Amino acid sequence: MQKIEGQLKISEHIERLEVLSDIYADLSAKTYNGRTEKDVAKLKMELVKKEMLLLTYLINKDIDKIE
Amino acid sequence: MIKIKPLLHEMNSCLEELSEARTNIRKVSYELEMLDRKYQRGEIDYKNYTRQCREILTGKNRSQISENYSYYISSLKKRLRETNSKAFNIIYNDTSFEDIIYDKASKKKAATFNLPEITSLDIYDIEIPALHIEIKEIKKTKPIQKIEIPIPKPEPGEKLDAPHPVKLTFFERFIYSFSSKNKPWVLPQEADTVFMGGFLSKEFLDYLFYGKEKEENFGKTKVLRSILSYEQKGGVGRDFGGSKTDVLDPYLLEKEIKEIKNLISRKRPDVYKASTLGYLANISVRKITIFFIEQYPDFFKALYRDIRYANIRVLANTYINIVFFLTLVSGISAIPIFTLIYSLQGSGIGMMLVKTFFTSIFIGGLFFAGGVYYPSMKAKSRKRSINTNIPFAIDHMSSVISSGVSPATMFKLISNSREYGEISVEIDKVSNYVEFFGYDVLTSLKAVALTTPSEDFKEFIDGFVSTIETGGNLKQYLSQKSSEALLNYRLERQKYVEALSTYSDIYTGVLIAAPLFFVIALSLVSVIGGNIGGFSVSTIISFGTYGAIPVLNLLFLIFLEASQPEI
Repeated sequence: MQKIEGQLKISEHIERLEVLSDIYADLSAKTYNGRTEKDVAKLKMELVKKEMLLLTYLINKDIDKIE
Repeated sequence: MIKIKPLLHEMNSCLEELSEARTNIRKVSYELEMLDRKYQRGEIDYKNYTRQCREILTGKNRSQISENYSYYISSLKKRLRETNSKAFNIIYNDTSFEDIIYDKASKKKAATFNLPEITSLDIYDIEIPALHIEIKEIKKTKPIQKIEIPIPKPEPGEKLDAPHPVKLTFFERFIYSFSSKNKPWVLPQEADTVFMGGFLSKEFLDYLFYGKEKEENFGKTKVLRSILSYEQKGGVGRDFGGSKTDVLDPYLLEKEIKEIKNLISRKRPDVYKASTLGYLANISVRKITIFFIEQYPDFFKALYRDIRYANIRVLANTYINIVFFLTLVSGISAIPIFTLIYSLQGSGIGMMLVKTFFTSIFIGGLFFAGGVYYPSMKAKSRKRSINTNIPFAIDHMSSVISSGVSPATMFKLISNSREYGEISVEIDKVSNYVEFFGYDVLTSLKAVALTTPSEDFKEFIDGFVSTIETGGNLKQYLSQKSSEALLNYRLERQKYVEALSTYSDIYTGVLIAAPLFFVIALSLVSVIGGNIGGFSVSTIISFGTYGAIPVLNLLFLIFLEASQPEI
């Protein structure tokens, strides 16, 4: 059961990574009016990046569970 | 722009391969199992079995297949990890958020002013034209008409009266005051300390004749004791034929009751009360005590230790001051009393003074000896209680900790149970240190270990602390200690029971059979007549029946009590 759980979790993380990478791409492709908007977008992108890094860490952790 | 999509797809394909491999191996193992069963049932012969096995295993043996499978899985995992690392690198090194573009066109232009060029340094007089402001008359607005909105009045509903508390009659109050444990005329915290349950107090008479109850404050709420007694015991109403609604309206008081219940269940910390005697002793004999402590440090060191072990709720210094104070007071107050007594006896003045002096010293000494001996006596009794209860307390701790709670909660639960005599007191100290003083569990345990009179309990605490500090398995430690303690307890009890059977034989011989023989022999002697050792037979029989046998029985009981093991 644990084997399948690990695999399922990895696929979940991958899905999230895909969604986050899309969001990241959208945020970077947009043009922003004014400094405030740009700063907010920058923060959002940083946040998404950190989320993605966390997900890669989680994937790595769940790979060990696969037997 | 992060380009990790291809990597994610690769990872997904890896996962698919993994699932496929797992399905394959499951299929192979299932087929093999079915084949094994068939062979075991004799449905196929050995030749067919081996042939089919070879077909399923594609010419390999089982261990090879399993090795191949694990190798394949590990290679897939490696691939997954590598791809993931690549994705991580890409994400980590991406700095595209630093170069976000923003629309320059929409940037607001700064206001520019075309100033006339200065041709010379002459000073110009600038003419400022007069301002023409047209002041328009403000038209008076019409006064706002008051609009009256009719406020709908609430329709009169059914009037519900809250039921009044039951008033008990004199007779009912009389029965209630003796039948119930709760005494409405005394506060619960004072119930144990009040002389004879407060039956001789004015408050009791007030309650009996006028129904006045002592109000108890729970925070901001004042509650009558009868309500509390109702909540705790099922109600006074039940005892006297009333119903629940007669006493409390559940709809109106539900919230309050909940609050009260919480307050009741909440444990109140015991607060040491200041002792007036201690205060007097501290201010009067402190210097004398210090002098003696300095003179005989070894003696007082043992006394200090005993006071701590005895858990006397007075500071050790104050206790010693009290002992000295009582010694002095009793010695001094004995002087006039015994002077009077000896003078009435008709002793000479010199003799009277000498006698009074020694008697007062003797009485003072008695008080001092009592004061010094009391802590060690109490410490011993606490030690016995702890040693008796330790196997059961550890067993309880073991079962609590195995349910996965933290040590602090476990100690709180044990201290709340109040089933383990002095161990509960010791554990209560731990939870008090944690809850009220904010110490961590280990420091609290170490502090308690310093003042506990039982070596066994101290050893247990030390083990507990070291298990936590070294990261050991607490559950295992407790279960091991519990089984050890229970085994010791059983062995000690078994020994004691064996010893008791010997004592019972001795008792039967010495205190039942022997007196019987003596009585028979003496009856025979009385028939013949004569004296024994100058005493008549009837005197000896009376002495034996009313003096010797009860005294021997008493001595036997004392011996039994003394020989009882600590566990």
